Amino acid sequence: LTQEAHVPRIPPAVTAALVLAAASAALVWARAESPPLIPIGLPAPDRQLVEFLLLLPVAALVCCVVRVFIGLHTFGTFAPALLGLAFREVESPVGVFVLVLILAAGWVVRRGLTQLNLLQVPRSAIMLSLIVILLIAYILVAHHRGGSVAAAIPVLPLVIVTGLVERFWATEEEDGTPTAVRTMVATLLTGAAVYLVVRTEFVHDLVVGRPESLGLVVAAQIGLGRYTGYRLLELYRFRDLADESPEKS
Amino acid sequence: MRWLFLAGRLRTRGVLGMNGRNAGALAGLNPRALFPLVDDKLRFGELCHRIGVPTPARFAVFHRHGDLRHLGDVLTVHPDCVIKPARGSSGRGIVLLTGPAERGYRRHNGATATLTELRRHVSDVLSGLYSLGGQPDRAIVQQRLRPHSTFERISHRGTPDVRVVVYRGELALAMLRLPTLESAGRANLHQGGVGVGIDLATGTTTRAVWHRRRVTHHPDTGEPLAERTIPDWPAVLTAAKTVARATGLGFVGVDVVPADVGPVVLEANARPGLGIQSASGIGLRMVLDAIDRKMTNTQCPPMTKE
Repeated sequence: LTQEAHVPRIPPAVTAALVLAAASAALVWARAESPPLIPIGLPAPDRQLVEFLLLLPVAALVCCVVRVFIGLHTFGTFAPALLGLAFREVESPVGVFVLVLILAAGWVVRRGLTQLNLLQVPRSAIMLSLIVILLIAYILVAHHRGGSVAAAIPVLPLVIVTGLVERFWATEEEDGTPTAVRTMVATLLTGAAVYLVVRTEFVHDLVVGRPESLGLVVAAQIGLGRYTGYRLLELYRFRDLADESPEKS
Repeated sequence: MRWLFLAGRLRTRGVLGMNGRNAGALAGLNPRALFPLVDDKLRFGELCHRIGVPTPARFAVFHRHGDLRHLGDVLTVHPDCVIKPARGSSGRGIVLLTGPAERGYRRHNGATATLTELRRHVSDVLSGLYSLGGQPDRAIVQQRLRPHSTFERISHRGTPDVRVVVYRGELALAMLRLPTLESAGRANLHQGGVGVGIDLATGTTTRAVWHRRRVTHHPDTGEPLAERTIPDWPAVLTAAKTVARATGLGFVGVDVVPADVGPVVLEANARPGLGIQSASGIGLRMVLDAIDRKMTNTQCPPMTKE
């Protein structure tokens, strides 16, 4: 044992996280009686944007937890965060269904596009255009049947969806369909987890009602950044090693 | 409840987890500025060349889509070659050609690739489809290494290689990576390659894993995997150590192919995978700590823990 082991030393990251959390909590407490930071008179579209922005760090925190504690790998580190926030705006299972449908249709088109020998960026642009056409078709059908239109469609993650199709296809080519499907399921599950967290009243009231609390979110992110323990899936991955007696060491 | 005990047992065995690797070993010892040196195979090849470590001969480099018209000429001269992205990872985007075929070129798996298909592939490589972070890339056409005859019966096509993990310039762990039918010529474990632990001192294989579970025989050829000796073992280790020290990275995986002409360094990895622990049955944390202890007397600071 080295001498350092005997001296309890708090890592600077932990200090930073604790100070930030304390400051943030103090600020929330001190301003408890003051009017909320986000004015009540904000027009609805602005309010929606502010809510989206304020919930984004929380969504990113959920992605961190999924990666660092569980070890699930997704297409794009923060794509699930945007997906989850998009689910929130949709507020109906139809939206998720539409999303999956678009992914499937995009995948079919992507297969066909391979035959054309196109450069990658124009190819992605074509995918984007086709997804827009699909969405417009859906809107027209929904309108024709008298359903609500704007509320059912997650417009925001269009580019993400295009990226998802492209990544899914590349992964399928390189690592096989099972890996691609597994990563896609992990991405959707993480998106669902983000959705379940950001839709809770507690999170909404805390972050949107008291944006001062974002310090707590960042503190949690710092804490996760220094976590060096095992991920849940690693316990499974290395189970053979754990079951052996350490005779060789 | 069983999970909690599992974590404790893994800690006793000194198994290094991904978070421990990223926050502990990589953060302090591998400065990001050095990553391009190993991530970019062109720069890495030049580094090997400079320090006199054998590396595959380079036939051509494609930088722009306009260069694609020369692909046919290059392949006519070198129909036995490897096409790979300069900044690829996990063996993605690598195509092995073994010679000309009736209507194009023969691939290592027996299929035929036409020139049009290969051009499209190189175009995808240039667009960054296979590169780290999806940035535009270059495509390298280089010599295809012929594995040493020892590996004939324990690998399925492709090129087996030895992954040596070097920590602070010292040898930590080594494993042999064997391609399988499923891994389609690639030796990466998570793509279905077989990992075989190697005793550092003797160069003899010990035990093996396939799909994270222990195996004793190669899944395709049925040959036993243990008790095999890697040819030119001291030269393999010297090459790995020399390259690792030249990169300046404190925690690096070096891939060496024991080829028919002797050990050839293929590439290095600044984020070496943790599967080597399952293959060798030895926890990395334990080995790294031992190296740290060995170095406490020197001026180098020890690795940051927790």
